[in-house]
Amino acid sequence: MTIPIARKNVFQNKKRAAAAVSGIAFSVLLVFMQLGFLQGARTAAAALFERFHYDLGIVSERYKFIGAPDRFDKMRLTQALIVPEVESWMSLNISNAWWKDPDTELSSELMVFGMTLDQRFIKDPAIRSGMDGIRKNNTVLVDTYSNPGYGDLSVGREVEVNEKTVTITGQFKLGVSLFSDGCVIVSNDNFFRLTGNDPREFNYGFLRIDQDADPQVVKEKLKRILPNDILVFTREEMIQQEQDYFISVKPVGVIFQTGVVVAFIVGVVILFQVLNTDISNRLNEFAILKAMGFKSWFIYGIGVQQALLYALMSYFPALGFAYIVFKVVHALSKMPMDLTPAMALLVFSMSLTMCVISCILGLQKVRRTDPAELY
Amino acid sequence: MFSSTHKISVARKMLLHKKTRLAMSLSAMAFTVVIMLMEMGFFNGINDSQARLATYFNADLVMMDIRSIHLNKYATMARSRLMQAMGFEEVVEVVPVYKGLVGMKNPQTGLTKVIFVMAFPPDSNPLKLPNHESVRAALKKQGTVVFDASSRKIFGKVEPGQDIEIRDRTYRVGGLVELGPNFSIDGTILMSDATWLWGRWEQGSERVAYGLVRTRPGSDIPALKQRILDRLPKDILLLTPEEIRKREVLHTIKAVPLGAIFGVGMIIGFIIGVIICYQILYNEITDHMPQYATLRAMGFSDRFLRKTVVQEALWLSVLGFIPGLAFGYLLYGMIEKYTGILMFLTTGRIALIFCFTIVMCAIGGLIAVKRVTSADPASLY
Repeated sequence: MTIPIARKNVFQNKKRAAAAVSGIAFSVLLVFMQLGFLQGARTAAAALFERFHYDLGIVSERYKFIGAPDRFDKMRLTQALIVPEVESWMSLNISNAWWKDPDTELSSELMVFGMTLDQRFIKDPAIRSGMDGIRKNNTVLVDTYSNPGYGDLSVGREVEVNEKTVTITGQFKLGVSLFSDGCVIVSNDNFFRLTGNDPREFNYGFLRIDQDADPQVVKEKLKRILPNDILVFTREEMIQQEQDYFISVKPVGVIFQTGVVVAFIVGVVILFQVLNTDISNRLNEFAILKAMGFKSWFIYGIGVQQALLYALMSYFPALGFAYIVFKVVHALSKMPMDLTPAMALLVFSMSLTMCVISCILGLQKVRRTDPAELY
Repeated sequence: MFSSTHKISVARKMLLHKKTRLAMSLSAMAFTVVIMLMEMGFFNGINDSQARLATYFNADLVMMDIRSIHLNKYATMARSRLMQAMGFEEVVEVVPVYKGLVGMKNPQTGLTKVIFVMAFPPDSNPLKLPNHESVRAALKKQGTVVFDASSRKIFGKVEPGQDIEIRDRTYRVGGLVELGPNFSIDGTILMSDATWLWGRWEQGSERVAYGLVRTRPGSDIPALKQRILDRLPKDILLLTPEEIRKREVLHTIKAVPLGAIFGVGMIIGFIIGVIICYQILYNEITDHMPQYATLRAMGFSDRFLRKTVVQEALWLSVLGFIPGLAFGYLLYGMIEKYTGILMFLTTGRIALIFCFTIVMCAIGGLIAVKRVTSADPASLY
């Protein structure tokens, strides 16, 4: 009995309902977009560190982020093996370089990642399978998300890195547009040759520990025995600190968080307005219901149901639309845009919150419905 | 008989009839204006912040290595290029600016983070700074540096007179400037070329980041630029500070899909605005159906009624824009203070958003207009 009243109220004027729903839906969509960009920046910031299997990471005490990692003495990794739980290490090295497409002679910025070629540490399937191809001198794996200015990236092609000719032997997908135009992965031997960096110093050391060892415990042990010119992070901390740098220090976070807040407020205001109009137009009907003996809470219930209906009818199209927009933005910009279930849930609860706030604000009028006023 | 003042008052009276509802409607409009202002603000803010250094250059032309595709690229050129530029009659002075990224120790946390250093002859006044006299005096003392007070918090609190540790050497902070961080630079330290050499940076003084070319008053800058470029080896770039600024903005837009990110937000804000405007007018028309029907019965034309609705839409745009702008202005201030992103609210940008608001409301009004002509005098009874 109760649901039909709310539904009939909402649908009585279809055009008005459509306008209300689309208004709220667009503000929900805006919330989705802002969260998507925020999430995208988070993912992009730590993308590299998700490509590897490791339990602990070692960086210089002067470490800032992937773009300014500084270096530490490679001896620290050997020293780390003193801790019995530490099984093995690999190193990852990063340098800025120049890429040149020989066909167009166009120079672009490049990030070169040099690494120990050890299967056990590599999570990314494309990098794993491409690993054997880069054991030879002057061979690279190239990121297909690199800038189009890089030219043809097909396997077998010869290009220039730091004015040395190298052969592309494989491809992977990473996306480093936050830091550079593109990137390649090479073996450590090739890395030090191509960049001229000192091979006695590393940017990152990744450690694998015994399966049943606690990374936090091993981390504390390492901190005790190693000199304090390095920092030790667990895998989660590594990723966390990389994201924090972008989200909080840079600060990308506040840009999108402001967007979320403003879009949320707009949603509340629209929903409140719709509810308020609906209720004031129907004060007479509500008064009649009251006169018929229905209690106030029953009438409140109708209002709450209406708000819920609006919120639900807006949320689902916004969700679908957001899914499409995320795909389009990813296709256009290569930015990682994932509509995760967690995000969908978060926005859903935000929609419900919109509904609650606008009910609290909008249903005040119901109290004032007075059957006596009807006549 | 129906003079223009009458028409306006009909539109205004219809709108003002229910004041609380109007206030609510306007706040919704205002928030869509805020959305558009914010999205535009971030887009411009990031671009402006990335290019900020260019606006400080106190020079007619700036020489850089050909590979310096953007301002924060660490490509350096041979200092001899600067000497070669001095060979042109119009050139009065070429100031070498060195730059580097070095680790600075946060005096509070003890953690070292990379900071941007610029070095130059102290008397050359290479940056347009409001306090350039005191900066010059401070830098003249070897071992003294000037710290950018708007650097990010990761470098800690730095006061004049304090000693800071850069690359394991101690320097005295002789003063503060306000340059500001961006997405490439978290903080800046200025020092003299003598201090730079004393610090034994690996770059030394042979490789220069920027050569600031100053010319005789009245020189034909574009012609001079062309002549220098024709004569010197092809490994340099020569640009006016304004050209560098524009190039930097273009580079930023290309490097990060800012246009897409903030463009999408702006379009959604605009659509919400159209919907809200439509909704407000639709409700207003529904509420005043009897009045509109009466007007029609009195012989007012449909054109008059349509005009009334469009005028209401325009009123809404103006009335919604003003609080939106005020709120946006406050937010801009807060964001600039908190993030260091330059949030300029220039007249041009205000005008642009105002135009968007008007178009937004006009579209909403035009969609809503159909309803008013359905007002039926017969339904009054």
